[in-house]
Amino acid sequence: MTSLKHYILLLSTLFSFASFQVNAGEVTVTVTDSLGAPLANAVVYAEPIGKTVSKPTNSGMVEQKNKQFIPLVTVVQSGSNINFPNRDLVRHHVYSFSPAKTFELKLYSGIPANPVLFDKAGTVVLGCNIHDNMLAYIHIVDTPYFAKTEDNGKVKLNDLPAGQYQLKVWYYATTKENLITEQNLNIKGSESANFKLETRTK
Amino acid sequence: MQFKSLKSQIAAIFLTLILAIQIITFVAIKLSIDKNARLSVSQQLEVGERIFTNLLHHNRDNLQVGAKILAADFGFKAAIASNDTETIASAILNHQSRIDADIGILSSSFHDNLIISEKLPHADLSEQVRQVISNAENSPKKNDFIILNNQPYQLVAVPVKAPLTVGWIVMGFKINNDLALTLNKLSNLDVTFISKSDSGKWYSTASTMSAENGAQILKLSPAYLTAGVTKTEMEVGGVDYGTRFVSVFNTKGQELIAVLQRSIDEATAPYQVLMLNILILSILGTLMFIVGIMYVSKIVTQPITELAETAKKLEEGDYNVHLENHRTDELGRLSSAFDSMTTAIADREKSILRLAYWDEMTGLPNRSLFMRQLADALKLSQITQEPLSVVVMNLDRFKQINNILGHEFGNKLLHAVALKLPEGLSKESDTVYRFSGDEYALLLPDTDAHAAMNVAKSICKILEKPIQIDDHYVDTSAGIGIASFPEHANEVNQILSYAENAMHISKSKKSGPVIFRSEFDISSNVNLTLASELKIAINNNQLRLFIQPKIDIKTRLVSSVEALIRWIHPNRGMIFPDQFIPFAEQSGLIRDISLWMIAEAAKTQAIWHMNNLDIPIAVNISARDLIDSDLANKITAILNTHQVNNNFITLEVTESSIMDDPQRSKLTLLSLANIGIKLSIDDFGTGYSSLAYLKELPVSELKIDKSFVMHMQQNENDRIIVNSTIELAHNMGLKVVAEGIENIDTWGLLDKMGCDYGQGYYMAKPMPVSDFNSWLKTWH
Repeated sequence: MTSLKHYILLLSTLFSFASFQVNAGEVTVTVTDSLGAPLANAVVYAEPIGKTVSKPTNSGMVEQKNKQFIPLVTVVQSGSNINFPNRDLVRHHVYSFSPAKTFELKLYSGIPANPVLFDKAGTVVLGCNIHDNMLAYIHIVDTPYFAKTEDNGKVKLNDLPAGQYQLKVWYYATTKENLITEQNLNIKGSESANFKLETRTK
Repeated sequence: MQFKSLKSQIAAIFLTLILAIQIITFVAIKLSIDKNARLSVSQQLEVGERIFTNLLHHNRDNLQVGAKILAADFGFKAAIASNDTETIASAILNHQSRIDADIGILSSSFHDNLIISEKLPHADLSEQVRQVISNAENSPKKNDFIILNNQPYQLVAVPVKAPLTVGWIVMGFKINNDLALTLNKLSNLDVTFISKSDSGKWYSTASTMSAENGAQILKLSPAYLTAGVTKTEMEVGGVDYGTRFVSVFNTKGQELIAVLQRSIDEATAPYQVLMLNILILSILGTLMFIVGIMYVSKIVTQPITELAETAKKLEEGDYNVHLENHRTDELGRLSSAFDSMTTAIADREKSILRLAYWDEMTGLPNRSLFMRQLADALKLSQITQEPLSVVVMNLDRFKQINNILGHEFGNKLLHAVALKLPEGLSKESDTVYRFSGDEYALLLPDTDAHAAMNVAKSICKILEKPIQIDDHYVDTSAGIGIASFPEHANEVNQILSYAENAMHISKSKKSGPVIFRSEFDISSNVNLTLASELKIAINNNQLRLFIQPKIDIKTRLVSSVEALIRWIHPNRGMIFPDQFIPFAEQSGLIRDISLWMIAEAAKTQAIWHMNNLDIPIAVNISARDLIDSDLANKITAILNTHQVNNNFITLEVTESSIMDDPQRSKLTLLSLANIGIKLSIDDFGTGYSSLAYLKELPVSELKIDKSFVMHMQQNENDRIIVNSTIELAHNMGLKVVAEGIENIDTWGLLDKMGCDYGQGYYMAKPMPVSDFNSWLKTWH
C-alpha cells in the first residue's frame, strides 16, 4: 500500500509539472453536508504553498436591503475594502465585534463615505444594532483564489497557477463554529475536490 | 309508650316526625356543607396552583424581559467583546436591580468565562449555569430552577447576540417569602415552599404560615410526597387544611415543592352562620308546628272528649244530656249518632225500668223498687233523724180464693186491692208496693210505728168493705206487720224482715195489724236466751200438755182431743207456742218437743185407759219430724213403753210442713200409716198443696183452718170455701174437722154442710189434762 501511495504521489508530481507547463489550472470543488446535500454559500479558497500572493485589487460591498444584509456571505482577500451601502429607507447601525475586524457604522443611511478595510484574515460577523435579525458574514482570506459555492454546492476556482495549494473551506454554519476544513491541492490542470462538512441543522 | 290521651298521642307522633325531618335535614345540610366546603377548598387549591404556575411564568417573563433588555444593549455587547468584566458585572447588576432579580450572571462564550454580578455563596456555578443555558437553548419557554445552598432560585437564560450568540445572561429570583406572600395575596391560600437539594434533606424555604406551622408542614409533607399524594387534608396547628402539593421542579435529586393550603374551617365559616340560621329557623318551625299540632289535635280530640264526658254521664244514668253539634264532618256524624243513641238508650231503660220495678198486673211498683226506695229513704232518714215505717201485708186465704174462684178472679182481686190500698195512706210520700202474690207493702217515710199503725188500721177498714168482682162480693182481710226505723231496725233487710215477722204473727193470731216486737225475732238475744232455756225446760219439766177436744158435730160426743203445748217459764210465766215453736223448729229442738208430746200423750192415754176413758189424742208434728225416717219406730217404742194402743194416738201435720219435702214426708207418713197411726192435715187451706196430691197420702182427716171458719157467717166466700172443702174431702173419703168454731151459728152452718167434727172456743178452750174430766162432765 505504501509503495502504491508513493507511486501515485510521484505521478501527480509529474502531472503538476506538466500543468505548470501550461501555466494555469483550475479546480472544481463540491461542498456537501454529511448527508451529501449541496451546501451553498460555502467559502472555498486555495492558498498557494510557498508563494506570495498579489495584493488585492478589488473591493467588496455588503448592501442592506429589506432589513437584510446582501449577500449573506462575502469573501474578500485581506486588505480589501468593503462598503456597506444602505438601500433601505430606515437607518442601520452596522457593527462587528469579531476579533478579525471590530467596527461599527453608527446609524446611517445611504452609502457611507468610507468603506471599511478588512486587513486581517478571519471571520467577521456583521450585525445591525437596530435590527437584531440582520446577520451577515465576511470571510477574509489571504489569497486571491477564492469563491462561494453555488446552490448546487459547486464552485470553480479558475486561473490557478500550477503548483501546491492548501484548499480550504469555511462555512458559516458548521457544527463547530468557524471551523476551516482544508486539504492539499496540486494544480496541474482541471482538478476537482470534494468537501463534506458537519453542519448545524437550521 | 302509653299515652293518656289521643291528643298527646297525635302530638307525639307528629312531633317525632317533624323532629326527625329537621334532624335529617340538618345533618344532610351539614354533610353537604362539609362536602361543598371541601370541594370548594379543593377548587381553590386548584385555582391556586394555576395562579402559582401563572405567577412563575410571569416571573420568568419578567426575568426574560430584564435579561433581554440587557442582552440587547450594544454597550453591553461591546463590553463582552472587549471582555471588560468590571463593566459587564456592573451592567448586569444595574439591570438586575431594575427588575429586582436576585441573581445575575453572564456566561461569555466569547471568552469562555462566567461573570457574576454579586458574590454568591456558592463557589462554582459553571456546571449549573451551563445546564440552565442548555435548558434555555432547548426549550426557552420553560421555567428553570436551581438550588444554591438550599436556596432555590427561578432562573432564565437569555442569549446575548452580536448578532451571533456571544454569551448568555442568566437572571433569577429567589423562591422566598415574597413569592409566597404574593401568591397568598392572589390566591388567598397559605403557601409554603419546601425544597430538597442533593443531600436528600428537606428544607423549609418560605411560608406564609407561622414558623411553627411551617416546621410542622415541613415535617409532615415528605411522607405524602413519597407516597405520590398530591391532594390531601393535613392538620396543622390543630386546624384542618386542604392541601395541594405542587411540584415546582424535580431534577437530579433537587426538588422544590409548593405546599398550597386552605383552612377547611375557614372555608366552612360562612356556612356556620347559615347553619345557625337554619337551626334557628328549624327551632322556630318546630315551635310553630307544636302549636299547630296542639291546635289540630285539640280540634280533633275536643269533640271526642265531649263524647267521652257525655258517655260518662250516660254511665251514671243521666240521660238528660244533649250534644251541641255544629259539625258536618265524621266527628259531627259520630256526635249526632251518639245523641240519638242516648235517646234510644233512655227510652229502652225507661221500659226496662218499668219491667224491672213495676208490677204489670196491678200497676204498682214492685219489691225491687221497694228495696231501692227503702234504702234511699233509710239513708235520708238517717240524715234527718226522721222515723220511717214499713208495713207488710198479706191477704188472708188468697190461695183458697184463687183455687176455688179461679186464677182470673184472683188476679182481679189483687188488682182491686191494689186500687183500694192508696185510700188508706195519710201522706203524699207514702207508697204502696206489690211484693208478690197476695203480699203488699207500704213505705211510709217520716212515720213512726204508732202513725203506721193508724195507716194499717185504716187499711184494715178499707179491706173490710166487701169488694165486688164480677158478680161476687169478696170480704178481704190481711195479716199486717209494721216495723219502724229507728225504733226496730236501721238496716233495709232487717226492717223488712221484722215487718214480715210481725205480719206472720198478725196472720197467725188473726189479731189485726201487729207492730214488731223483739220476741218475734227468733234470732234476737232474748229469743236466743229462750232457745237455750227451752232445752232445759224439756228436761226440767217446764212444759205442760194442754188439750182441746174435737167434737162430733152429729152426735156432740168427744171424738178425740188435740194435744197442745204450754211452757210454764219460771220467770215469765206461761209462754204460748207461737213464741217458742218457731225457733224450736229452727234449732231442731222441735223434734225433742214432738217426742215429749207423744210421750206425754201416751202417758195420759195410759192413765185414761185405766180410767176407762178411751179418747184418742192428736199430737202435732213438724216438718222436721216428717223427714225423720225412723219416726215410726220411735213412736212405736214410746207407745210400747206406756202400753198404749196405736189407735189412741193420731198425728196432725200441717199442709206446709208436708210441702217442705213432699217425697220424704210421703215416705214417713206411709210408714206411720203402716203401724196403724191415723193422720190429719192441719191448717188446711193456708198452704199450697192440692187435694190431688193429698189424695196420694195415707190421710184420714182434714182440718179446715180457723181463718175460714171464723168469718164464714159474714163471708160468703168463706162459706163457699168451707162447703166445697167439706164436699171434696168427703168425696175423697176423708173426715173433716172445722177449727175455730166460736158460736152456735157457725156450729149450725157446719152441721148443715155435713162437717164431721168441730173444734173451738164454743165447745172448749185448750185446757190442762187435769181439767179434762171436769170439762167432760159439764159437756155432757
